[in-house]
Amino acid sequence: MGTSKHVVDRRDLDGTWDYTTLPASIVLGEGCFLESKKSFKRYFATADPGLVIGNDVRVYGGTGFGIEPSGMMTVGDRCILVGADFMCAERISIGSDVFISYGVTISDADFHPVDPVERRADAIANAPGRDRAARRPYPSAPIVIEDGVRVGIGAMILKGVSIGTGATVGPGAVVTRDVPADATVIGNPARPEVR
Amino acid sequence: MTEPYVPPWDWCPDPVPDNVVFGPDCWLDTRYAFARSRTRRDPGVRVGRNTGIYSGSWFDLGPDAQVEIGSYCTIVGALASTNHRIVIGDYALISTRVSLVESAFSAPPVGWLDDEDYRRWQAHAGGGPIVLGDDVWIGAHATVIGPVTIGHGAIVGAACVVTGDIPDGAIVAGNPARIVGWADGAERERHALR
Repeated sequence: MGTSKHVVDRRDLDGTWDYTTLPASIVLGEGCFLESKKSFKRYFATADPGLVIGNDVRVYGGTGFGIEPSGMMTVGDRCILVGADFMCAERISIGSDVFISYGVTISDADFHPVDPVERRADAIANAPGRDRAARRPYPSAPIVIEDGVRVGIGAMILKGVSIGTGATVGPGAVVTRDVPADATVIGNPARPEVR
Repeated sequence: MTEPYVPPWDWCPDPVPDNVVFGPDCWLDTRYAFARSRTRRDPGVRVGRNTGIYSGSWFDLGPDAQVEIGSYCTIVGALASTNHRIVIGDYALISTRVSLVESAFSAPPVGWLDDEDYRRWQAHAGGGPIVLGDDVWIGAHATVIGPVTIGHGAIVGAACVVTGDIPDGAIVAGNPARIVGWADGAERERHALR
């Protein structure tokens, strides 16, 4: 056995922590498993509710609910979120029975302006010791992931995308456009799979 | 059974599970690597000699999983997620943020109602075993999805997604991964003849 003092509370990482310590604007359904308390460390939503999680949802430690003050997110019932980094500045809606694998990124905004002058002003406002309220507006568009969608390992879903019921996003795919129901997309940028 | 060397800065208080067997002179950065190992096999994980398993490595192993890692391997940061079998040959170099997963939709084995519940999901997700030969080199952020066999001496490029078998000595890159070259002269000649 090692001799170091551990500064990590083991219970915060194995789903046995007290879920009632979550922010009051998070609505949590029945029978959920939330592996790591750290999944919520970037939750800054000001909406109430800012995050709604349905019943019997499993959230694993690689998942992060990065919700900006302007963001709002919903997760349906029986979802399995293995390792999704959600970056939400506007709205991310996830249906029921959705599976999201390891190392996935789902981002509904650019998070910085495209114009370089505006972007420099944003970088300054966002720096330590400066006023984040002075940040510049940036493009965002809601993401909708409908019921029964499966998102493969390492995929990325970008702003404004809707993924139809029962669709599959292949491993490592970068989804920049809507995916119809029951379709399978792969590659970067993601395209319908050709067999 | 030999204990691996665990550095004193490992914060994780859990012991290495009894069914994880190490050969002599191995290094394990943190015992947290096995926090989600639920394999009931004995041994569930067998590691050869002089192999290092460093801090980004993670074993999400279901009740029926079996992992065999050879000797003199450098496992910098591999995620092994399976309820099947993963075999890694000797002298493997596995870089940071590499995923070895039984399917693109495999899930960790904790947080389920019971083993059967978990097995049902894994069966639905499909996939199969992963076998890496000796002297395999896997680049950073690569994803290897079972069932797949990677031949001896093959090189898997950074960030590529491997979903099919790779012959001995091949160099692959891209998503999905394709052969872009050969790691030794003899193999290059054979390829040119095709």
